[in-house]
Amino acid sequence: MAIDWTISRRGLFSGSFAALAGGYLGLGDAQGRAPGANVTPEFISAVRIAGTDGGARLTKDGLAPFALPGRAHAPLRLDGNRIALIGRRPGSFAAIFDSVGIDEGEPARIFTPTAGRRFAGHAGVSPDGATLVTSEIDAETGDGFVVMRDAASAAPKAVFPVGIEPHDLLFARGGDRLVVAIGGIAHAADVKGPALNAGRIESSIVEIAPGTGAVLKRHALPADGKSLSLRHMALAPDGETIVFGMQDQDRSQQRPLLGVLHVGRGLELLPLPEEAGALRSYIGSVAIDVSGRFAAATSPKGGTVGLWRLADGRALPGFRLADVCGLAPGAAPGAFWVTSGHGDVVALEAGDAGFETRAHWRAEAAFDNHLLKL
Amino acid sequence: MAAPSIRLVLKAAAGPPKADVARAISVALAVVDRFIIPAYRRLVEATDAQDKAWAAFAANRAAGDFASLRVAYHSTADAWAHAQIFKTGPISLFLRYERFAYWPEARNVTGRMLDALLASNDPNDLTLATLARDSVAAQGLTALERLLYEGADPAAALKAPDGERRVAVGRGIARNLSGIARDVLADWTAPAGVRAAIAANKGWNNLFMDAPEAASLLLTDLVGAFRLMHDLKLLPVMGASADVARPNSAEAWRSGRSQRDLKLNLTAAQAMTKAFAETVPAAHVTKIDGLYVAANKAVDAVPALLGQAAADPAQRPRVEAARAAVKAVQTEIAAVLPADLGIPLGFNSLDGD
Repeated sequence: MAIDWTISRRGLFSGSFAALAGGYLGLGDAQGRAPGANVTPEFISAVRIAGTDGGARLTKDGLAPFALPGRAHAPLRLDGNRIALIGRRPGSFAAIFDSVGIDEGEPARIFTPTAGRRFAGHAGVSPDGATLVTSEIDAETGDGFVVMRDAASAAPKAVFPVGIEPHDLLFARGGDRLVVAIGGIAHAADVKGPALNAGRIESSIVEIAPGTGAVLKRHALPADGKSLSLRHMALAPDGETIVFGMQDQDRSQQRPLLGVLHVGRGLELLPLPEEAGALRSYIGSVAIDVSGRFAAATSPKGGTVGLWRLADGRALPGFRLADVCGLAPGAAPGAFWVTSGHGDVVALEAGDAGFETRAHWRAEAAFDNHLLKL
Repeated sequence: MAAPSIRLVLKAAAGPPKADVARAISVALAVVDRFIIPAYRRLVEATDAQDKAWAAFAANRAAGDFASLRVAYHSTADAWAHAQIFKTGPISLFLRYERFAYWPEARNVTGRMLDALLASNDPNDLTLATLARDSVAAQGLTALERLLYEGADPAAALKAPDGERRVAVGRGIARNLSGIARDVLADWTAPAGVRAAIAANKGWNNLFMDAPEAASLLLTDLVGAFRLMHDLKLLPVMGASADVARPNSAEAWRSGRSQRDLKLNLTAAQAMTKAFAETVPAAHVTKIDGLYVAANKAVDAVPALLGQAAADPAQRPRVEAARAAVKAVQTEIAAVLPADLGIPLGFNSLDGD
């Protein structure tokens, strides 16, 4: 046990963030080993520190937080070091910043949703880096839209209506298809009340032609899935296979929460992990490893990272971590990183027998739902 | 290179401290036995009386005792204001929480769903089985309030020759509320219910896996009670200033209960805090108690029609004072209780996204 290193970081923030100066970011791995080069973290996450919402870049040198106008949700890499971080639903801002420059005092650029709408916390970028797309919800009616934007300026180029409550979105098939998870939970975006249609949710994943907004295919759930909301997705290295995670609005029964979508074809549901109720009817984030062999999904309510082998859809033993949600693939086959609302940063390695822990860090910070590995 | 600011420390391997199971069981059971089960018992009694009042009214509709329906409604709403702060446990199954009182509502959905129910003549619409899977908006307390308080003369509307369906809908809702309350209480108290699971440090259904997790959910509910009061019942109604206040976003404004419901939520939160606070250091308890005294005083000073007060520049400072006082309790509880009780509060697990 020793103090390992100190880092330099310019004071980018004031107020309660500043109180953190001199605070600790603890790091220790499960086997008591120092982290090797193979577990070097480099991430962006939305974060809350001492009551202040912002974003943070996390490297082996430490946590470099910066304040934002409110709570952010999902980070997205635009190109090189340019990162977008989208405001959490109902979000009134999104930020674009340089992941290195932000640490040197270069401010984030803020952009807003189209008029009368709110961000749903997510964005996607086309493979050529030219188009940024955001999911947005009308603050009055709750109607959902995808907004195609110029990735350099964030200026809107086209708006396509997509149904109730679009959430996560990504480009597949080399950019030919825009795939949007339609959560289907009807809220007026500004009312924090219960869903208007809990139990009768029409959730789906739609494939859209990015140029015209035409819906090319709509993937819906079976008739007994009316309480399920499709919310988060991850694209496999083949560009054709998508893993999606769901949330169940009715917890009186256990229903599938993870599935695989084959672009242009159909979807299949994967089994729940063996431990009954481990995911508590709720998945917050999904990822596929770089080899495309494994899918992982986090449940902050269950404090569980679930693991599936994609070749046969089998659920493998998961990993337990309280309030875990942020999830991203690591650089090596089978590698995943997870973060928690209690400040944990954990490197996991997936295999046919389940997860092994490679490193476990802790920071005095609450990491939000989604994690971007740089 | 800029000045150093955050140090990293490499620690020897040490997992999170093992949850103190015995303490979690004891804390959770104190809350369940002293507060949760009594609150649901009261809800069962009130909804049962309300069911009977509607049955009696329906039996002799033209000469029915309309006042008794309003009394029964208020008694149920009072009981609900205590139970409303729990979102953990069996109330979260089968959409029971939303079905019991759909609020806050958006775009008058309760009004529209209730109109559809009134316009239908299918008696099957009003069975418990149908309501269980029908729209959550038209089957609970918020819909019943409309039957009793909306329109020029709601009593006459129920007694009128064409009021039969209206009374049948009211009866159906009253029966439904009684059924939900009874089911929830049974799920807490049954031999294989939630209380027994906590006592045995076991999981229950799909909701928690052991007593420490149950204790954490209960503490989350306590903090959530303040989000309910502050973020849902006060902030959206107040808006940024009196001229943009939204009086009709206040809870139960039709029946004039907005301030009363808030006050009863605060009373409930205080009772729940007391059940938690047995093992909390005395100095912390004293400080929390003091903040509760101030919050009660501030909420007592808010006029019954909270929404209208928020829109009135002369009365608005009282609403603002209540908001600040409620927030002060929340901040102290969230800062102190998790550490004092050894029970972590969630961040990502708090709300869905």
